[in-house]
Amino acid sequence: MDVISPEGLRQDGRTPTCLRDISCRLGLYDRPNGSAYIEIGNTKVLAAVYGPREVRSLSKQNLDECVIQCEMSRIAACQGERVRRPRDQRTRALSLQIAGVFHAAIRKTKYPGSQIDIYVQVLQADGGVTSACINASALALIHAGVELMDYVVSCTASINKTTPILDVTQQESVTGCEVTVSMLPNKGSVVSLDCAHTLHLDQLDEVVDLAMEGCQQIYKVMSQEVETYLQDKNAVMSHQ
Amino acid sequence: MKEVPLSTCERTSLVSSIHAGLRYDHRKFMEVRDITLNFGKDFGSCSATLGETRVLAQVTCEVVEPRPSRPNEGKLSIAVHLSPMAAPHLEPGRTNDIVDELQQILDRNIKESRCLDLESLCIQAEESVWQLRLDVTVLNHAGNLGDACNLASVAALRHFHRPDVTVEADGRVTVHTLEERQPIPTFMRKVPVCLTYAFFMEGEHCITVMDPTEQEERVMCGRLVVGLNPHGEITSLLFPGRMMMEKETLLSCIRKAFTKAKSVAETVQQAVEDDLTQRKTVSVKPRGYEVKNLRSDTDYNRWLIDQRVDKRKLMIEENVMPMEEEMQDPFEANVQQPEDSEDSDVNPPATSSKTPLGPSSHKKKKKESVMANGSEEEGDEEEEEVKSKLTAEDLL
Amino acid sequence: MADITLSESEKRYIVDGVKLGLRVDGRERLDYQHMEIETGLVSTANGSARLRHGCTDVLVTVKMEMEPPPTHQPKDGLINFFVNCSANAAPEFEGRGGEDLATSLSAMLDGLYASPMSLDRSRLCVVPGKYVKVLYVDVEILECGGSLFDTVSLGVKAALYATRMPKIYITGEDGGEMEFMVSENPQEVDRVDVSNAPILITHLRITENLTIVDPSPEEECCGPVQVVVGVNPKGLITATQQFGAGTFAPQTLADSFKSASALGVKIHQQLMQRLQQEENVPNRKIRGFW
Repeated sequence: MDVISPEGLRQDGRTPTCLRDISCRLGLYDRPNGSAYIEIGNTKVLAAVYGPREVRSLSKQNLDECVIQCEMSRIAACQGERVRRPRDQRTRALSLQIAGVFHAAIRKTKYPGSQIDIYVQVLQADGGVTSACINASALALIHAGVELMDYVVSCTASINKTTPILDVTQQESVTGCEVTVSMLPNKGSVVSLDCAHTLHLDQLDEVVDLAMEGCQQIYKVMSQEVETYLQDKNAVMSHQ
Repeated sequence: MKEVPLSTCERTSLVSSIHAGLRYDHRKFMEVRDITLNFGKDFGSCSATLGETRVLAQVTCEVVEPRPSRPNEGKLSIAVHLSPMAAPHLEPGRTNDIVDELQQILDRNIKESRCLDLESLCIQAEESVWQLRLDVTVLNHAGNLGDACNLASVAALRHFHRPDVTVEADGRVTVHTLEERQPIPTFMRKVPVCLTYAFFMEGEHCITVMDPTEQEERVMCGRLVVGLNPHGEITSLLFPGRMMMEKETLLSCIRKAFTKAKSVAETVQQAVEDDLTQRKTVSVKPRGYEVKNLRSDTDYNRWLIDQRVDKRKLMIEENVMPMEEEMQDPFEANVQQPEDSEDSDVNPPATSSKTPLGPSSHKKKKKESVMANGSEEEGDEEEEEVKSKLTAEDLL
Repeated sequence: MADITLSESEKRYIVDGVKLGLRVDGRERLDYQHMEIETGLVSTANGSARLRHGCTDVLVTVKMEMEPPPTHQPKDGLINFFVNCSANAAPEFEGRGGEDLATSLSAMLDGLYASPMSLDRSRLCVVPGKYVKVLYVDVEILECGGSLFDTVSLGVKAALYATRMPKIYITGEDGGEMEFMVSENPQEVDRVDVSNAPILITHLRITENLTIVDPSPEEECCGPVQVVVGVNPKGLITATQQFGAGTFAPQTLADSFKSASALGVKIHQQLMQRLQQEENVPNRKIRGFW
């Protein structure tokens, strides 16, 4: 089955450079310092942030800056086939990546000797899981009030023969590659670049450019949501 | 064991020398360390060294049932093992992070890039296929494990030959031994190469360094791992954060990697082909890994011998020790035999004074560089004899 | 279960309040907190339910698979529980920290549904001795507040009620191997009969002879011991388990069982009523996490 039909539309009716529907929400739970939920198409991810708080194991403590840890897990029904283990080698590798992204984005020197924990739960996986996790974690960190250099936004892109496509679903990424780019939208610098499956060197430029454009679009949605949340909170608090 | 911490002055010294354009091992910024590939006795066993980093990869095969979703394809599984042998601070349990990353790099470069033709591993569709298992063990960690693991794995896979099979009419599968039938080599379409760049930030300016050593890895700000093949395809990209980069810098690094990848791939191809041609020569039996320890090092042994000779000369002059020409040391005779085969023209007088012994004949085949020591000594016969005796005694 | 530290005066405040018949949030001794249930959130599972109860948030998914049965029970289907306490719920569940709690929860659920009276497993059989339906019930703890056992058991019952298994027809036999056809029609579904499925009720002993039901995390710190009682819709007790280092006086224990039984009947009725109401809503929009 072709990824792009002869009319130029993808299987879910989008054009090649169109993002899926994104909706996000901050502050679902009270116990974590920060929590957020994001839905990008059918990919649903929940993130919770605990911290900055005391370091649990002193051997890991760094007195100059904070320690950042991330743990990602999936629920059993996140894919069509039942996932037997919520945390395995793959999720551990992805957790390391997510932690790496926030190592660059969080102002670590503001929280010396402490620890920030990011916990991500994938409720449904339909392509672009890593980028959804990073976006949800960024929102959760903002909700927790942790100082960031800038928003962290992530998006995936791929290439189908010669047409670059934005925001791939699970089905589309099986036949082609999946390039995940995380960037700081206001500064324009890249924080993480990840490519799975094969991609030709000549096509790399346009795919990365497209992904960065997608990031800017996602940034608009995320910042709008944060502003709405703050306005509501302000309204509630000023009413008191 | 805890990792030995890097002191502040070491750290500052490393970073500032990089900023000044120098690396501790005098390499240029874009220079990769020396690559050597040694192959073991069996097919599919390769030990790769990248400078001081040493990794061993072993490929084994087994006949299994295929996956129901892919009934025509063989299976390939990759496992990375990291133990305190590689570095004392790598304790089991704590190494998970590094192992996960290495596993991800290898999975992406080799499995997901589909460089190995899995369909050729099929024996009977839906019934039996070959499962290749690649075990990668890190023997010494001196920086840039990703590249080294990839090198060793790719070379091992290319070197691997699987046994021939025949499918009987009634569906039974017979696996032939390596003696019965010639084993079949695995077909690798494109050779994936992995290259690592380390980044050092100097204010806003970013310095890129290729193939970081362990010390450089500890002080670097960020890292980019590029997996590509000489055909211009990128098989994997890993920029695991920890710093902010401009898109252009990253893309230019990836483009530069392409030229380097070609030369690395060629080295691997050449090494594998050399070893396979060598094996085909009937007289040469594979002897396993070339042992490169102190005892077999030519220069060290020569130095040892010189030292002892000088000492003995001194003692002989002082009439403390008698000459030992008449002693028939069987080991000596054995030592002399390889000299016969190698440099019989150079030292005929030396060999004629010793009577050869029977059991020494198998030693002829040993091409250990140890024995070459004795043959290279030229000088008066007496000294030579003394030296050869000393060689044997030293080695005992 | 969750890590909360309370000062002595706070604990006194809670305990004295209970003695006077009033809890910190205004409830009576045997009052349950407000609960929110939604089923059918996860489209990739055969059945799912999300339950929000006070500070606890639980997501239960049910997936059906076909497998050969164990040799000693060839005619019964299987039900398999797996609880995952992820680090979202509480930071102490990071890595393998949540395993103890997860194991005790799944053991409790196994015990609850072990009896053939709770769930008729013979209806899950497809071909006796060859294939049976296995229900994999996966419980995800999203937020860990008080009375985790109660919430989980209610969630499991709701998810099982919402499970729609496609009908399986045996089309023929091909050399010893059975051939099946799974119905694609969304109307042709098998349901799980949960009319006898039990739920758990937690009693926490606060003072010498007073117990409270559905404790909040702060109240859990004050009581030394709690007993979890499994009650079925008819008021019969199916399983009990004691947690914590403490003792129960025989009379207190007997009283808790009686009140648990009465409460259980009421909760079952309410739950089934609400689930049926939810089912009858035409074109129900899934609220999910919004």
